[in-house]
Amino acid sequence: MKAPWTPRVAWVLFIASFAFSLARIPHATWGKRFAQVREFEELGAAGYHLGRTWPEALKIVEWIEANTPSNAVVLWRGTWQGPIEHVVASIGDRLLFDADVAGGIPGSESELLGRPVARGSYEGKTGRVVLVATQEILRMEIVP
Amino acid sequence: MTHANLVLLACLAFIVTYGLVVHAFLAVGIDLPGMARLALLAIAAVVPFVLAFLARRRSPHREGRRASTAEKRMLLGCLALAVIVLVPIGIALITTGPREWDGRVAWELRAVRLSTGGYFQPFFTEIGVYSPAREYPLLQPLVLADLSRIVGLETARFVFPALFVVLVVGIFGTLERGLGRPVAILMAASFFVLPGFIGTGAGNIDSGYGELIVALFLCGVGSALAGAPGSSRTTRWQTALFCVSVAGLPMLKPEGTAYAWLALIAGIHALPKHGVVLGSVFTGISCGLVAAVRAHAIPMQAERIVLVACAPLVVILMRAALDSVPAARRALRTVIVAGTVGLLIAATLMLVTVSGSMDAVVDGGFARVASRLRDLPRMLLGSVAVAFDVRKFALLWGLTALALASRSRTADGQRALGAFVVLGLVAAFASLFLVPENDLDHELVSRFDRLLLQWTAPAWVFVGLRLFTTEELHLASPHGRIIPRNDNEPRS
Repeated sequence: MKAPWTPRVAWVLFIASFAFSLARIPHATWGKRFAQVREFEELGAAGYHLGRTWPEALKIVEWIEANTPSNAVVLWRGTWQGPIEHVVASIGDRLLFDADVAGGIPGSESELLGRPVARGSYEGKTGRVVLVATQEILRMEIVP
Repeated sequence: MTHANLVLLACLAFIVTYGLVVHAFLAVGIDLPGMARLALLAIAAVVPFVLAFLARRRSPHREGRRASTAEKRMLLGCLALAVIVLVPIGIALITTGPREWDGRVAWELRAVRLSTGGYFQPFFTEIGVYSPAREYPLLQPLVLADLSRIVGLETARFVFPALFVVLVVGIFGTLERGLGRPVAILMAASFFVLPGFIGTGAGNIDSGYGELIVALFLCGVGSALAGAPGSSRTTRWQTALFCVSVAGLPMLKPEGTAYAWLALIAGIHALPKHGVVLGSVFTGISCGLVAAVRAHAIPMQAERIVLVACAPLVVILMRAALDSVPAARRALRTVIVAGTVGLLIAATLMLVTVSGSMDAVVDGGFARVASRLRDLPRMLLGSVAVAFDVRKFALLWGLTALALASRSRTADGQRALGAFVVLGLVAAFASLFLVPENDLDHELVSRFDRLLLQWTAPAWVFVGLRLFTTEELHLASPHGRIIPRNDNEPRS
């Protein structure tokens, strides 16, 4: 036989759980969600995911979108965690390619995987674009 | 088999049929063109009905009865609740898509790439290309990609609330077998409003994460293992549900492989022998195909793929060995079980050591396991704090603890399901031993909570059948007679 208190405790816990979940709906399901939606619509996808935490990374993404071909390969080095994760989802059809791996591929100065390597002029330098990632920040270098 | 059970079985069978065929082609280097995928979707849609027909042939339908007025009112209330909950989620899905980290970079990004260039493109197969979650299984992105080819990405995202509804219907169908219908409706409604799924955190319905679909397949396993009161063996549809569920798990997330093996072990005596054989074979096929597809992106020796595919077959040997050893020889039976579990763990580690997301294991992770023992109190307290975070799980895990502690004649019928839930929770906790020390706090609130979210469905089924199955409920059935609680029982 069940202990006599078990069904009562179970029902009390169940009702409390159900009531608490219902009470969360106006705030968590509606309020917070629509606040997120409004912010998303204001900032855009890249602004929402990158700009709020890493505004510098957002500027770099905007620069890449404005100055490199839509199918370009952008070189990258550093950690694979951090803002770089959202960069790859924010640059459209472009690809990020490991700069160290690219260094061993002949002809990679101008083309990789049949795509143009991203090049441009930034802060007075002209050359290939290399993103340098850490878990906290993202910066852009131009190399010859 | 109730209509709710049929919905769950049909959905899982459809997804698994589609997934196995697409993975089989990808494994041999063929990316099916768009039209072939559509045809495959149509063919996969037929499979559940064939399966359901075969499963029903020897399983008389549960005695039908009209819904009472009170039940109709409850169902109307549930419908209103569904509208209240799903409307904001639908609006968010159309306007923004995933707003959480991995939902965007690990899940939807892969679906978008698959829908535009297929699998054999540098994003997936070139090791030099930055590709988040390259080692993750592909079933969810494949489904989303193919749906987005047909109806567009924004509409395709509605697959997530659809899966959630199937999940809740599946829970209802399972509980209905053991509880009175009103209690089953109440419990399903309570699960429907679980903050972890309908709130705004990682893993919720519109986050795009894989937690929801994993929960759906774990629900399938839980439903198959759940014994109805008075039943002595598993019915054919339960066996079919078990097989499609374990076959699907490895194609969903890396931990799905471990979950499938846990399910096979938990179900080793709850299922008939042919169920164990079929489940093991399907799991092996699924594991092998997932590994073979991944080998296009992350090099893996063919011998390892074969080994990973054959590992679940150990469970068949375990069943045969246990059947041949008398129940009195407990020590020998324990050795057999421990040996099988050890072999499966070895195969799991072999699989994950080629996986980028398990760097912790590769980079001296085993040494870390021993040193992590001194963090055990912190890990235990942290895990309990996460489980009892009412903003995510309400009191679900408190009720689960109560269900595990309760002892009764009716509760004893849920041993296999209880073992499955406990094994899953232990596996989720054990994974904390592998994370780097400085990441422990982050892993607790950002990954362990999602592992718990995956297990909410089978845990809720367990809670319902263990705590709320009473003789009083049986007697409370309409017209003062007992409704057969199991498909095996003769009709009155």
